[in-house]
Amino acid sequence: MTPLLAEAGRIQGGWSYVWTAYGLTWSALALYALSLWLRRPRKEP
Amino acid sequence: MTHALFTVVGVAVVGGGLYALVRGPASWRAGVAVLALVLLVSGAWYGLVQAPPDREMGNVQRIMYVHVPAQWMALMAVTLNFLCSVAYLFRPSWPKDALAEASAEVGLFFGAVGLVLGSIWGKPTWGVYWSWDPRLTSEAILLVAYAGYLALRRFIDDAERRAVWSAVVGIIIAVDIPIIWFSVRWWRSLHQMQSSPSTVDPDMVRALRWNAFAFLALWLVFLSTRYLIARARTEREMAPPPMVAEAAT
Repeated sequence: MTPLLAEAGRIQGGWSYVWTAYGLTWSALALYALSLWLRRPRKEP
Repeated sequence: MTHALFTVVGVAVVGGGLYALVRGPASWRAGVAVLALVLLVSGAWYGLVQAPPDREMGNVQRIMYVHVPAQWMALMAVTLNFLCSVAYLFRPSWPKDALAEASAEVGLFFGAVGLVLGSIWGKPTWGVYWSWDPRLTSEAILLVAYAGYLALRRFIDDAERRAVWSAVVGIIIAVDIPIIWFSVRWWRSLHQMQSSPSTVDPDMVRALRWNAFAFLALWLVFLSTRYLIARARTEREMAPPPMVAEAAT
């Protein structure tokens, strides 16, 4: 029996999944922003 | 009627915003990025604290506030890619090709994030990270297709041929967009159908909208920056070799 099994019709717990999802989202957004920043067009000297 | 008016105004505002960010100074993009960050922090507070837990999914449902906006941004980007591809074939121009390239990459990015988030949400609710469900499968096909689209663009050196071929491929891939959207209605899908704000708790709607606007602001910044990267590369490719340029002056 997993701790997330429905009790009284509602999934219990699950905060670890929520934090993982939000953490991954923020990390992915930051990394993609960084990749665009590194590739940004620069004026040639 | 109201819905159609809202859509027209929304498209005009987003299109105008994108145009302004592309044409305006870098400080405008930085300003919208800061706004996006503020919205993202506020959205996280609404999604993680303010919104109530779902009646059946409990707190796990809070993943929806980032999963759904990510998928919306992905679908907006790939629809833009389709429009640019069609427009390019009718009347070729480098800005259309650059916007097609930018929208493909941004669409692939948001789509991949949305798919991973959906997978994380699937484990506690469906019991598995992945299922060959029509919605998930059609979304996965779209992402693989756009990865191929971007690979194709890297393999073709000739800029004009690259633009034409990728426009054709972009139109072919777009067949998958309505399949993704309607898959939950056309087939018996594990994935739920689209919800309506009228059937959802107002606090949940607020959390979703706040995050959606944060993602939209980021979408505009990402797309405009990626467009400028694509334009700069095309200009480098089109520039005459140094010796020819010197002879011309």
